[in-house]
Amino acid sequence: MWQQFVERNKETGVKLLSVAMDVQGPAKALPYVQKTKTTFPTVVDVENELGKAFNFKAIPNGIFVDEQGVVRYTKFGGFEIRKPEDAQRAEEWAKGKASAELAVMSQAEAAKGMKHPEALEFYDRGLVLYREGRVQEAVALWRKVIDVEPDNFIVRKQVWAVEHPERFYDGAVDFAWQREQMAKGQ
Amino acid sequence: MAIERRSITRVGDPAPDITLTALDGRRIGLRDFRGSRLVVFCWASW
Repeated sequence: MWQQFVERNKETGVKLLSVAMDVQGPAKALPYVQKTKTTFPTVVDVENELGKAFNFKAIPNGIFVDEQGVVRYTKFGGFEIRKPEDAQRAEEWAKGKASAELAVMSQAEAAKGMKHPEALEFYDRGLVLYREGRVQEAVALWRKVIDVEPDNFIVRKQVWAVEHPERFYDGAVDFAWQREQMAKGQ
Repeated sequence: MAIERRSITRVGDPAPDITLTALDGRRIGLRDFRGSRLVVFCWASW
């Protein structure tokens, strides 16, 4: 559907960058992208660099950046091209809608970030361990992030995906299982 | 381990100078889009 957006708005010159937030790397994101040919790039944010820079904890997100590289709009969580209001916002942005109005709209979508002072440290240390192959120790640290930041779904879902890959990567994502996990306080 | 205090990017701030790897192996940075309006869409397979 983003491909359709890009094609519809080709004359505006708007650019799209698709970012897969997947700590386990490009191999996980690839099947989702290969299904449709796209004329925009898809990158993989394996170390949650965008999440840390913007302090967002939920996806899907929209971030609009202007020609000078200034951020003009953000919506963290629930931003989808299939939603009329999000599609409209993206189209208006492509067509050159005034930045001030978008900034006001962004304030209504204020990001919730990692408030607990140790959360970021646990997260970063977990990432180092994960890269070293010390997966269980990494997960233990990431669970500490979830303990102090229970609404951080990026980290929670990464832990689930690492511990239960069969629920995420073998076909359809098992959302019923995810709901069970939440009910169990996992 | 000391944590660097880093500032959070908000609307009105310059976009962070982040470069990520595309599925075809290319390195793509947010800076590469200067001169155009950009929509960044973050999602996940989970």
